[in-house]
Amino acid sequence: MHTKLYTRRAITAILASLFLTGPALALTKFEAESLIDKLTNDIFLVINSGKTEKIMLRDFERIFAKYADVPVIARSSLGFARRGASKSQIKSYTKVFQGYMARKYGKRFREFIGADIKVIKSQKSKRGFLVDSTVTFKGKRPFLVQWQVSDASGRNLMFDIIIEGISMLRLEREEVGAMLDRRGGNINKLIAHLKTMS
Amino acid sequence: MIHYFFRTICSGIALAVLAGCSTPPSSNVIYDPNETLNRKIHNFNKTLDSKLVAPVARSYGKTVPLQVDRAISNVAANLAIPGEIVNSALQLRLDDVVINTIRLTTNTIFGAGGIIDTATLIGMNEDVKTDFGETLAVYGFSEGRYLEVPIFGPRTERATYGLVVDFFLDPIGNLLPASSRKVTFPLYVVDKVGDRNEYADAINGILYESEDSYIAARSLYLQNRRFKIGSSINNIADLEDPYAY
Repeated sequence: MHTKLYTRRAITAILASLFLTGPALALTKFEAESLIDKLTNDIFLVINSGKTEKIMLRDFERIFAKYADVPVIARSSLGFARRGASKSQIKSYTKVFQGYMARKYGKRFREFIGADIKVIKSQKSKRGFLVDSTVTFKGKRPFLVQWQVSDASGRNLMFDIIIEGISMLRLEREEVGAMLDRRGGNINKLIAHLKTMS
Repeated sequence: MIHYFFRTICSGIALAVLAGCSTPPSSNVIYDPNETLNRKIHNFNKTLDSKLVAPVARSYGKTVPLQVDRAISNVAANLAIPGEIVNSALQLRLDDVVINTIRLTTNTIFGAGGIIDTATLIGMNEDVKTDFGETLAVYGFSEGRYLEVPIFGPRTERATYGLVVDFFLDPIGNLLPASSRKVTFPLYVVDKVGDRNEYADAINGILYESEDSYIAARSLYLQNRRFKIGSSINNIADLEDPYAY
């Protein structure tokens, strides 16, 4: 009788510990916010560094590769076309996509010279956290930049930037979709095109 | 009771106007049944931009000092406030009415008639930008089709009706003598030219550097419009989830 009870207790304890240790590894609110803190710090250091555009773009690509879940962002940008893509196509696409993103958005960052960015709050989302930050230009009202952070890849990484409601992930899926349409859905042609884009 | 009364009257008026506002698209869906026509208007707008607006905006940027540009956009923003207050009242958002009333009086009295945005300078970050399109949204009218409007560019069907109503609603134009339009309309146009210059990099990026400028403009407009009206991104469930596939 006693042993049975103990066994039952032991099993309950083991089950409980399984559930308790599971989430301990998960991304916390603090980690999500400090990731975006570090990321924006790094970006603004480059923006205000006064380096040449070429070097800045290289720095942006390094930051993007370090903080963002590039493989997932790249795959998402392919939309339904990712289903027909081979592993090696996805691999080389991800590589050119990373450079394309760094150049495209890096060139626009000069508009942020002298601006101030602050992480203000975050909330739980489906895959992790949605971190809110505000960007303020002198004498102007701040605007909202939100970041999606997740550890679904095994590391704490950012996977979407939403500026005043405009999701980079959605925008790029539509942009890459248009590129694919113009190339008859041919992923190799898409890869070649992204390589040539300055 | 007042709420109900307002609702009935407004829905009645709007129903008559909006009989064509069909099919409610869910928050992340694009409803664009007139794409062929829209693309033609988009090309017209693009030509108008490249041949006229962009060059004018460029020389505006070179000749008009930054302070003057800032003053013009401040005055234009201040003149828009009375109409926004009316819309906030119709939306029964009384805090918005209060914010814009403070803004209007502060900038009119202590900002030389709106030339200086004193309210922002003394630390007032709250600002309400609204229009009749949003008022219609508050009363439950769906977004309708996506439209590209000549000269004005991307709009939802609902925002297009709003544009027309706001034009007639214009309390400033109705309060001031008719001759004031001679001043306010050019001011509005000059303000838009200033905006074209200020956001040149962003606008050029959409119109001339994207793969398909029609799709880029549509996506940017709809996402931002839904955000402003509060029907999108604020909603956690509508966020992108690339890990789902």
